Amino acid sequence: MKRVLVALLVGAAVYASLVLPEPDAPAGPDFTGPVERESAASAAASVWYCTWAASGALRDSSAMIAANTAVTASLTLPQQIVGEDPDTGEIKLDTAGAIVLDVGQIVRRGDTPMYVEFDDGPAAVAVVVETDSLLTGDGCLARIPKVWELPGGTTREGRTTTLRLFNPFPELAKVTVSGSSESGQTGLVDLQSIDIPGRTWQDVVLNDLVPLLNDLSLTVTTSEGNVVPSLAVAGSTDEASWPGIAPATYWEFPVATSSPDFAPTLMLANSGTAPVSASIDVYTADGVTADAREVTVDPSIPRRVDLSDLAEGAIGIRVRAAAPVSAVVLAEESPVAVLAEGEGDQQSGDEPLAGDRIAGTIGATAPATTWLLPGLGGVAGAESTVWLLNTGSEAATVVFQPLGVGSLATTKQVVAPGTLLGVPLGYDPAVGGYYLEATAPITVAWSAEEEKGIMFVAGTVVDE
Amino acid sequence: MLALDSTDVGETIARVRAQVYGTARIVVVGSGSAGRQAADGADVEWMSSIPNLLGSIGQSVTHLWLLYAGALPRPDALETLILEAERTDAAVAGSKLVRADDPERLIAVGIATDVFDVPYLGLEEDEIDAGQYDVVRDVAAVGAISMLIRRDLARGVGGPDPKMPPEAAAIDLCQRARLRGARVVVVPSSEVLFPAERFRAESWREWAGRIRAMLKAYSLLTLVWAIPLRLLIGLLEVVVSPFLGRWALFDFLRAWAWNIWHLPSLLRERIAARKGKAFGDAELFRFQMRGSATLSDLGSDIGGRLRSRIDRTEGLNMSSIGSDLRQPAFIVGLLTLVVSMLAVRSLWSSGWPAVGHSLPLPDSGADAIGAYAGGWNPGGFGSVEPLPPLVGLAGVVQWLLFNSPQLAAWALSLVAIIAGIWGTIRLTRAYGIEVVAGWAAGIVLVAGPAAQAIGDRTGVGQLLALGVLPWTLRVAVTRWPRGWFRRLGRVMAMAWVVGLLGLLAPALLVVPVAVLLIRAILEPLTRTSWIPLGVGIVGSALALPILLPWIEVQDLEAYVKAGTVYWTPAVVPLAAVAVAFVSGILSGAGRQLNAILLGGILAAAGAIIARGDDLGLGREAGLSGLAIVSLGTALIVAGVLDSLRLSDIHGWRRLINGVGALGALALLAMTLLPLYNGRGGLPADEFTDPLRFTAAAEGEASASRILLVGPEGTLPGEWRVVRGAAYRVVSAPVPEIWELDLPDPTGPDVALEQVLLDLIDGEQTRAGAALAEFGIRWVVVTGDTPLEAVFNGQLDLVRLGGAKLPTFLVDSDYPVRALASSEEPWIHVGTGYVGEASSGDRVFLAETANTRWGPGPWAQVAWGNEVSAAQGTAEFRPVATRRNEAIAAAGVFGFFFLLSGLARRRR
Repeated sequence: MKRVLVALLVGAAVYASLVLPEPDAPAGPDFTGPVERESAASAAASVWYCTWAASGALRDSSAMIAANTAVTASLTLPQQIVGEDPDTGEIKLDTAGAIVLDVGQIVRRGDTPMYVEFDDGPAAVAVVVETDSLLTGDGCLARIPKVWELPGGTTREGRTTTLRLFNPFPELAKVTVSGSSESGQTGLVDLQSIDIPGRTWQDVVLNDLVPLLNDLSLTVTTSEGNVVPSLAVAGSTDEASWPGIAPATYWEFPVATSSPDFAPTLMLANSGTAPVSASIDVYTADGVTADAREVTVDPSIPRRVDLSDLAEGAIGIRVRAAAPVSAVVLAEESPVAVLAEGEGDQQSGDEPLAGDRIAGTIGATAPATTWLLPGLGGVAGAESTVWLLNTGSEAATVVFQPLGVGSLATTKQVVAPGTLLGVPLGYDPAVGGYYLEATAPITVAWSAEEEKGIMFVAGTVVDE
Repeated sequence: MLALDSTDVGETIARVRAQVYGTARIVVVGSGSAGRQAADGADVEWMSSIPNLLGSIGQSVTHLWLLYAGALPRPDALETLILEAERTDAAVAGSKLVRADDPERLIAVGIATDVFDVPYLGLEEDEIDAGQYDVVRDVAAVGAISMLIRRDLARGVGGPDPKMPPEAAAIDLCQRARLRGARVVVVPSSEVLFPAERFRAESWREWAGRIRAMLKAYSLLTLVWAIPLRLLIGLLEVVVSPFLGRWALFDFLRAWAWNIWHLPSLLRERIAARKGKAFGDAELFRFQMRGSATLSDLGSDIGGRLRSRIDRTEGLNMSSIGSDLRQPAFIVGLLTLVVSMLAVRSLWSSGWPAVGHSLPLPDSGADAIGAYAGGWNPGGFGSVEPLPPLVGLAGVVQWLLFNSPQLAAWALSLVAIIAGIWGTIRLTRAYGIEVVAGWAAGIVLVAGPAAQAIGDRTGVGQLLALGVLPWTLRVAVTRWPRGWFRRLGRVMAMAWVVGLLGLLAPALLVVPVAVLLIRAILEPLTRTSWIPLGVGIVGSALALPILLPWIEVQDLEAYVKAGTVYWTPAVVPLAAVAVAFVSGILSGAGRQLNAILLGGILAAAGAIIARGDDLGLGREAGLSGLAIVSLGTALIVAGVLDSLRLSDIHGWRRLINGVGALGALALLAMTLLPLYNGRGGLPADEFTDPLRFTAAAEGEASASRILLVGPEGTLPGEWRVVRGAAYRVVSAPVPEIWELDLPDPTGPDVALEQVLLDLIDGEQTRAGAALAEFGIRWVVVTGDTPLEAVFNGQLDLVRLGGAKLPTFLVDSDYPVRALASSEEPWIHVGTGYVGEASSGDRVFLAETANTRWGPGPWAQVAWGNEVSAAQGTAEFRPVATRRNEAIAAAGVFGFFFLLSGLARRRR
């Protein structure tokens, strides 16, 4: 009897243990990595990477720092020699304001890519580079994807394209650079595996590697570490520079050209595997020309779109693509003729004309209502213009808050729907940037122009 | 004449009077009134002690001849002693001792000792005296049974130490004489007959006397290595002796305790012994044997037993082996020892592996004891939460074993395995199960499928507790003794054994009572069922104070529910157990059947607990369930295997019993192999090697912390979670066992979580600077985790090439957990900090803020502490109540232990 009872008891207990469910596996992380920051100014600490900067005997650079709150900005300028301590500087803004900092005050040693850390936000940085004969610059970036697209390069006669790979991080970055041109994939054999030691940078003059290409679009991929690339296209005097971007299906360029003196060109690149159709809308002060041009961007063949015949005067454009493409705009005072097939070896002989000013910039992937424009109005000797592009269906009233070292009065402008508005702003030593608030989403960029050069600078969206 | 008792005094005196070399006086010394009466009867003087005798000897006396009562010197014994002593200029001379009942056989010809003053005679057992030793020679010592000593020397060294037993006193006297330049010789031509059985009376007093002799004679330099070695050898003897039929634990403990108790007189004697010495220790070493006499004796005993097996005329047939194995004796003991030593061999050099919930012991046992007894809990960023009792217990063992973490871990694991096997043999004896089956069950207990599951889950405490668990039942079920004192001793024994079980694995505290209750229900009509239950209940209740202060402070419900264990047994061992149980229940009989039934219930109940995550049971409960499964499985194996020898099982039942035995043997075979990983059942180390690089980094590694990130289960001990990703902070270079459990989150935990959230959200790109605030210098990735990508893109974290695990180094002045205002880092030692003393400076401690940190004035800075740097140390002032409770717990344990020991020895 005891055997039976115990057997039943044990059997029941074994059954009970067998039906007890296994605990749920832990849910695991609900993220896959750090949240990738957009290059937008937000109400938090941030780091901005400014690749194309130089301060030496030939060039001067200014870090245009603007913030809509009290911040401390720490500037770090790594050395190109591995292991050398970087040069650093620090600036405090006790209230919302902007400041134009001559990088030469920190160090003068030629090329000086840098990064700027803000302990609070919204805050943003742009860099302006000047010599006696050039003016260039663009906004800095806060976002670091693993794959960068850099369209808009060219190595045709009269233009020099330089790629800068800046590794602001302490660990080595392993980088692969691939290129595409009008001939398809371009064999950048020397750039298939580049090691960029931590806190250094490397410049690659592409004319030396792949000369006489009309259009050159680069893709920079990092397998280890991170880099921030930028591309500079130089003419005989002036140069244009812009940072790397990530492909998108929607782009707005508030400034493709600032005046009829500069021929606008849109450069598109498709790193996908299938052709992508894109439509281009052209905006002027008078209104919009929708679908002014329909283009197809083949994979691995950059598409150059001449915009000069679409409208006169200043124009802004919108690009809508069926699949992600990368895009930049270039405005050239003296465009160098594009070589026809087979002309490469004949040396076209087209010398750049006198007054070879050139500008280029990246676009915005979405309109926004709040913008920070570090440096606007702060480029000494230049005529600055802010470009407001309203692609929406309602008018946008834009409040201009000048940012400087003191309290400055605000002004307002109204941008009609479907129009581009350029607002000239003279140089004001008290102003180092602007904070713009609009009643409807717009995109914003600014330009600075003087006799020696011209530059376009993309505005920085402020996260709301 | 040293009269230890009055026996044979008269005959010895008659022999002295018959000496051809006349004596000036004959004095009987000691033995109180009996000695006095014996002296009066023989018409000689009597004195109470040697010092009195020495004081009464005049200048006319040149030598003193010490003779034991019962010694029968030949007529020329004294003469030859005198002549040879003077010829060789020896101050101390001893006789050759031969057996009184057979004068052809030797007892001793002088005494050699090892460095620990353990005597070694160098004679075969019953060695015949063929004159082979008949040469006067220097020896380490001569026995006081017949010792001639010059009067001036005897007075100079103060005679024999009255606190010592005879043999140790003789060795001590000879050593002290030699230190003063005296020569000690044995004179074989001087023969003294003596009862062999009285020659060597091994007792704890002799052990204690030898230790005292050693402590008196040697220089401090010698004692630095001699004392630890003596302790170690003693422990080994304690472990091995039971297998040779001896029980040495209490003698070992009493010998050392006696010396500690008599420390003041020892110091006085030591000063006197070394005052005016003519030689150093080297002179003593000249006449000592190399190595250890104790180890030689153990080796001889083991060898002798082996030889006796091999030399047996009937050879090694199965019946002779069975005959041996049916006695709890040598073969089983040796097998157990061999298996156990193999099972823990790797722990000797490396201690417990750093993996899961197994981490090495801290550097200092005293620190561990202090931390347990109301000190600082160093888990995570520290807290005042109590540490598990295992930390305190292991600390005590480590402290006793020269503070060696490896040795303590090895010894604990070794003793646990041996005790588990041995305890199972003893427990199953209560069911009439003989030793072979009991031994197999013991192996299954400590290394069976359930024990392996405990090991895989790194339940160190539960693995050790398996060594105690059978004893808790054995103590209870042993025949209820007669007499109130022995019964009290039984309850006390139950209390300390259950207390020990609780110290190792608190959740197991209730198991003995539960098992005894089930046993009583299974056998309700026998008186021997209910008394053990009563003993178990009372003993377990009395054991509770032993767990103070932990049991008072710990939230027991949270303790039982914390963590997760879910046991999924392998199919083959499960089938083997099932076959054994079912066949056992079908074919078993008698008390063996009771063991099988109890085992089945325990195994099934344990399985429910071990898979009871859905019932709200956590890690500790689950591991305890596995321990119960292990015990149940062992009982099934024992019952089924032992049923094979039962003559009342016939026919189909015999067949089924055979099938069950096959199942049990299969289980045994599956059990033995995993034992040989050499880590006592624990998995391989996963952290020591990958974290070793930190020790080679610039500065002191222990001054900084490591942030470990990786999947749950790949991190040591407990972990925290941020957005589903696991992480935890540990001390560099390798975390220690007291860091296993993480206290409830405190200020720094909240701050660190916020830093990680900021990093994940991309709002912070200088992780190094942020982590440096917490003293974190390295981030080590233990497996796939998105946090690796988070740390990848930081401006001040450098990925280290060549590291065994992905590792990031904070790229700044090396972050430390304690930094003085002078910017000098302080080193983490134990649970406190040490640095350069500076009266005006302050030091910031990256530990959870607590007012007990000092020296004062204390201030809270953010979530940390700031204290004065004036003393060069920063420490946590223990919680007095907890410390007192811990002391009381130790006292209670000791009281139970001693009382049970006394009761056990009382006949």
